[in-house]
Amino acid sequence: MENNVIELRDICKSFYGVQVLKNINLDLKVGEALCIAGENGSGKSTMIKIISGAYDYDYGMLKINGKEFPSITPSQSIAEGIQVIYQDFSLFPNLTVAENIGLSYHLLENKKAYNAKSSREIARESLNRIGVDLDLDRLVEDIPVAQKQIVAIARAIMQDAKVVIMDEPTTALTQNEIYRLYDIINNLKASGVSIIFVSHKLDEIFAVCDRVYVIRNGKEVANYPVDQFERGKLSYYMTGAEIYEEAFVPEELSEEPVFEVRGYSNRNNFKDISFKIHHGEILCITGRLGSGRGELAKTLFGVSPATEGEMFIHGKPVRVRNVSEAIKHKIAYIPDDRLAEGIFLRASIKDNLVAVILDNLKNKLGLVNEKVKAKSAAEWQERLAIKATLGAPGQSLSGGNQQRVVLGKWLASNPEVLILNCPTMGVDVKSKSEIHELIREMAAHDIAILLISDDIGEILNNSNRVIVMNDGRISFEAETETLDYDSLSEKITEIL
Amino acid sequence: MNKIDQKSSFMSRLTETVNNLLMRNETVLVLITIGLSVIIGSINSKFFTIGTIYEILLATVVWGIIGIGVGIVMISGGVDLSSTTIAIFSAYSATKIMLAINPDAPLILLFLIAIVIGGLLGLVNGLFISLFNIPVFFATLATATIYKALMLEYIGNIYITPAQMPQAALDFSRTYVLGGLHVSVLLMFALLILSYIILRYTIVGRGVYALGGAPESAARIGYKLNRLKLSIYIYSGMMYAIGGVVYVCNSRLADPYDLMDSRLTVIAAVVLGGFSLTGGKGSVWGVLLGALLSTIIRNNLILIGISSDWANFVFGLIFIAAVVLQAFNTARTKRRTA
Repeated sequence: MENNVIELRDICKSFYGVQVLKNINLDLKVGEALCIAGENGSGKSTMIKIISGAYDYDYGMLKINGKEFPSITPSQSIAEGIQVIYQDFSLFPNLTVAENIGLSYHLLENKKAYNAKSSREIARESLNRIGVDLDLDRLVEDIPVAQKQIVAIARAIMQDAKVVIMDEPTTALTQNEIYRLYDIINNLKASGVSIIFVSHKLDEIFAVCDRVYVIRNGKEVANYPVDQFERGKLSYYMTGAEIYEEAFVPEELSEEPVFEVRGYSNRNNFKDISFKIHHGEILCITGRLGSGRGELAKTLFGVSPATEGEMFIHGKPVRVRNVSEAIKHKIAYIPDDRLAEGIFLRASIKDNLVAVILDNLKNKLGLVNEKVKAKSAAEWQERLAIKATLGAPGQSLSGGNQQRVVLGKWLASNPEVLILNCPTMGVDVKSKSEIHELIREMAAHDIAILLISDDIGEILNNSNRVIVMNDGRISFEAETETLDYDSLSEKITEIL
Repeated sequence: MNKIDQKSSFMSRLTETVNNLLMRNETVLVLITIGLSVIIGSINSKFFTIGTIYEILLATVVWGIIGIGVGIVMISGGVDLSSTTIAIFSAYSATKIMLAINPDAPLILLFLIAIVIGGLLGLVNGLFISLFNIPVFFATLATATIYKALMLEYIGNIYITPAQMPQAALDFSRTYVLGGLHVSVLLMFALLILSYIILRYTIVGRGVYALGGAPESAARIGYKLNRLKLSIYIYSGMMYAIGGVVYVCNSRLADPYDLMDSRLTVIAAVVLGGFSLTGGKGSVWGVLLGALLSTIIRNNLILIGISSDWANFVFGLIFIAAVVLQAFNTARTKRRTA
């Protein structure tokens, strides 16, 4: 009993009469890594916000370090050694690594004067503790995402943190960065820090967590030590429905490739990339962050022009020097950062769905025919099962639904080639499998599909051929069925 | 082999350092200022006399001091449109108050009265901005109009002639040190150094940058944002007031209609000094350099026969170049981390 850092007893919480947490019980032991899994809206973030003091709870009891807190403020929670690493990391882009870590320390210690030297020392010490060496004087806006996360972790543990809560920490990381994060977490555990790890990726859960806690509709549905947890059951617990994903097997392949690229290069980003995609195929290009996979996708779509190389669609040479040429040749691109690049947040779902095909909706005067527009949008809404009214703004949708709107926007233009850049990043399990379903359906509909992904499970199940990029070049190519999780992961993370 | 590697890595580090230095706004500004001075100086040798340099510094003083306040607000993520209104409001009111109670009081009284008034007006700005959480640009556009109306209606709308000005103010305007350097230049440097220390070595000062970089994160690590904002606007209000008093003293008259139209001039000088309209960036030395450069362009191009209209043209060009450089830098960092 004494070695519980956090205890929740019968915690209930309602917002505007809607109960989001129902009698939640939870114990977190010293040095334990607990995974909290649940779909979007299941109540897991509310749970974390109650622990971190951002929300009050309505009923129940919260005990931290053996002390009861009828209500707790964020600074009390921090003082008790609870640190949350938010998905956006909450860093200051305009300050250096040392300042980002050191400034929190100065505030916690209630200092009035800022001492740059002690900031550096604190930062150095904290980074040493997680075994990472970073340039302390670089601005945070200049460092890659993975390093930003390390800064956020270093900041969290700099003051005797007892509990570090990580909210989906791996969404922005590639596989080998994730491995490093595992090491960091294991180090923290060994030094007696408890971890709450919010995630719904199986591999992660089994790699670092001691216990799995699944929440659905505000209720606990599973709470097991990880070795008693059935791997296949997670999505069942999370969604309440069994989801099976069978490996993708292409139907008949066409003789001629639909899409072919020869010797594609873009300055220092990637060199000499060649591949073909036939009808019915899903080709996956993977690689670490910085391997050039993202740049390749953008170059194919004309975001930046290729410096060398040729492109063929149905055997005919085409040139794509900018995005409008790509659209003209019926190449569609779905970006990884759907919020920033794919959806017009303020525009209605209807406007979003027809954004690419506006040209086809013109009447004789060159004005948009509203009736045709509404019909077209409604059709895609139905086909993609988007749960919302067409007039609602894009930002009102959940992540998975936003992804579907972006998908629909491009499908409406009847593309020949569809490039999907990490289409399921940050999407919950159920939406993910629905998106996979859609991708497969499109492959069957004569669209050449290029899937860019670093989610190994996704690649193995949803492509028939894999190309691994490493340092801007193709380092490996194989039929997906000849690969398994470990062999592919090894190819991606190998250092050339 | 190893040696060559070391050498080449040293060279690449050196070029990187030089590149980074070149990309810094301060460096670019110094280079432009020097380049412009060399051009003016080579055509008109009078430019490079100590007298001219002192003159330029004197002409920079008011913009430098007001610029500190505008700059600090800009670091925190706002554009203050009330700066020069607060400056003239505080200076004109302080002069009238001092004339009313004791025209022979020492200069420090004039400054103190103005600083209190400026601080209060800044506080009102801060209250609007933090309580209602409205954009600084709109809040200060509104308060500037209100302050102007209040001053003209309740404090006065008739300018104070040189003959009426307090003796201490007139004495101040004639005080030179170091063989001809006006004393207000020293005041400006003192305020720059004070602000530099506050911004760099205090928690509140670092908080100004934190607030401008990521307000929500600043709150999460324990900054009390409303208190921080109030401090920022009070301090800026005080800087405006000091700038206003120096302006009134040096021009030896206090005209309530003066200075108010110059608020965009100060903002332009500060942006030229490397501040970003989106906040989080800038240093007091940038304020100084921006103010110096804009003064040289506006006042000294005439030395080489460029009329003041064309001087404004040149200023516009350099301003655009500065903003383009900023945008370019932002795009570059974005590309690097993408």
